[in-house]
Amino acid sequence: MKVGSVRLRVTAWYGGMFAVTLACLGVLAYAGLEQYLDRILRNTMRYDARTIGETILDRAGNRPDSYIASEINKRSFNARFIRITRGDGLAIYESAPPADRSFDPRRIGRPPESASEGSRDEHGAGPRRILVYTYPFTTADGKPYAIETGNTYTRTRQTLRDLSFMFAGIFPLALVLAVAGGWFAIGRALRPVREISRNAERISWQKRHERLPVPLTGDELEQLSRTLNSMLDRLEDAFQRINRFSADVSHELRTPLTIIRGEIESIVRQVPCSPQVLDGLGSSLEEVERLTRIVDHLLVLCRLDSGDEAMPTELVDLGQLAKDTADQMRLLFVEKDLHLTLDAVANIIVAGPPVRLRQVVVNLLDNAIKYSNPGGRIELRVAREGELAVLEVADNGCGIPADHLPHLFERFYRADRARSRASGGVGLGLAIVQAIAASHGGQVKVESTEGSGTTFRFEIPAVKGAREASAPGEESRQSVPSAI
Amino acid sequence: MLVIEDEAKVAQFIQRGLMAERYSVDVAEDGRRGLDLATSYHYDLVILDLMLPELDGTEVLRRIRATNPSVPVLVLTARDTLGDKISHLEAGADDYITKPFAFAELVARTKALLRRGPVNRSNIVRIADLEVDRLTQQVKRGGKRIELTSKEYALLEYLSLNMGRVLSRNMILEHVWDQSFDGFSNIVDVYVGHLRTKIDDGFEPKLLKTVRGVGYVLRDERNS
Repeated sequence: MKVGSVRLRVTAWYGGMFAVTLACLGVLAYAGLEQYLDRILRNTMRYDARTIGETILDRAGNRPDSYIASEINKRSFNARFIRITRGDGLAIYESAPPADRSFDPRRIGRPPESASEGSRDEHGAGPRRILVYTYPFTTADGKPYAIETGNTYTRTRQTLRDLSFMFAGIFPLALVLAVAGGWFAIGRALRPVREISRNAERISWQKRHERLPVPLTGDELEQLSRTLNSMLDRLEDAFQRINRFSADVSHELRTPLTIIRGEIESIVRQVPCSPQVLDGLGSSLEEVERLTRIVDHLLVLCRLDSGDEAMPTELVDLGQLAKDTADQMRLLFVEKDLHLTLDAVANIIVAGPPVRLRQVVVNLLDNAIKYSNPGGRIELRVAREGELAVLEVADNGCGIPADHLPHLFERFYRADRARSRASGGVGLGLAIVQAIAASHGGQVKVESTEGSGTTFRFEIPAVKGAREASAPGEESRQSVPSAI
Repeated sequence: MLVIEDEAKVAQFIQRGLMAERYSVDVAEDGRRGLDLATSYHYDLVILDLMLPELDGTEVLRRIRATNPSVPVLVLTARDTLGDKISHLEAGADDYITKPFAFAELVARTKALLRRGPVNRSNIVRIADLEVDRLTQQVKRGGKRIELTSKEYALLEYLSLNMGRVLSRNMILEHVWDQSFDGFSNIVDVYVGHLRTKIDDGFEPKLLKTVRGVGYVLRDERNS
């Protein structure tokens, strides 16, 4: 179903956008945190350097350098690397290598000559980078020093790695939740659309007066329903106009046909004519009759289509009706040396005008006779299949080419023009059968294999409970497979 | 009799045809005039078209019935749904006929309404040496028994009761079959063909005649 693919597509887009957003967020958060941690590290180093300068160097006065070293060692600093260089470039203190040997203080480069305040990255022979902060300090008695404090990025790295792990855990979970939520939400949003399309599909020619329910939500779906409904209005209107037009045309043709027929008949009756003239007039009358038939059948079709045919409905035993009707056409089979078998289950009750139901049998048999070869077989079956009463007419005639099948029930459609015109058809028989089926809420189907025969299948709802009404013994199949 | 019909040409050929059958016919071309005539004079039969100017046919029928319940009314209608037909009969029409109709049908119905047709109520109908026994449903020609199926018999009976009159395919269909058989097949022709083989083959004169385009007739040409 198309709605499903819209759902999939929207969810995919939504999921994709969400993933990209999460990725950007992750990258930004990572970069931001890294910068922040670096700044903290730098500030800490600066603080340490300043503390050393203000609390140790300032108070050292002229005491020996060992005093400074012991003072530094007495305290604990965040910095794992401390070096103090005098104004003349001599390092008077350098911290010992750390316990984990992650770097070698002696391998850390000298402070730059300019000795301006700032930080730089060093390697100190270890695998990791070290941040070294240089803090120029001049004691109260005017001695210049360069205090360097440093630390590895280990903790920064650790924090960032933790953050990454957290992201790696949370993001996929969030994505799955978001996609699932999106799938669900879009499904909800599309459900009314599915509803609308289901309702729209239900509206057939027979139910053309029905309209889609309009949800009073004021949103696009209400709009859609209204648009579809107004389209249905226009369609119904157009169909009705065509139908009314056909009915009017058929109707209007009657008066001229009456006149033509009456005039010719009165000539035939009252004026002595030569045989040629009589023949010509007779031929004209035959055509008038055919035109009359076309007009009549068109009118029947229009009435069936518009559903305003006022025919009394009765409960009819379809099998019996089929048998009686076939009986009345017996000579037509004899004429073409056709063998008719009737296989009718008793007591299949349908509701409808008997005239129309007989017409179905007549038209289908008539059609089968036309397309049968002399000596052929025609089977007429009536059976009940679930809720349906089924009437089948099968012949073993020439069959109908597959490309004709879809058009077979169209008005004036002839699979074989020459043949059906010669046999007096007007091309409306099957259309009428279909219209009758439709007016009963049923349908007609056709199957055909070229060269081996055609089967027409007329299905309408059977009357429920008809079986209970019958005596239980009558259930048995009343099969009459005899030529009638 | 009175013909109330607004189509001048239809009225004209009905008038001409009925006059040829030796009826005297008045024509009214709208409902009001038709009603005036119908209520002022005594007619044996009124043939009424339902689609009329001035005054609708149904209304004319109602008013005729209000003043004269006994005059037979034959309704001409282009509306052929059964529902319409029933409502006309309820409104007081005695019979109806659908346009376009075969003139033979109009005459047949007219005669039936006037009870003046060749009402052959005897049990045995004879045409030349053909005998149709309506009680036993046996048919003889020249003294020899002819076996007919029930449909063939019904067809022959209908033709023989209307002996000498041309019956249209439609009339035969409606009497012997019913309107569901209308039109698609050449059923009437086939049955008439078979009937002809049985009653006319090997006999003289030929009785069952085809009038091309009009219909079939059972007639002994020597008498007419």
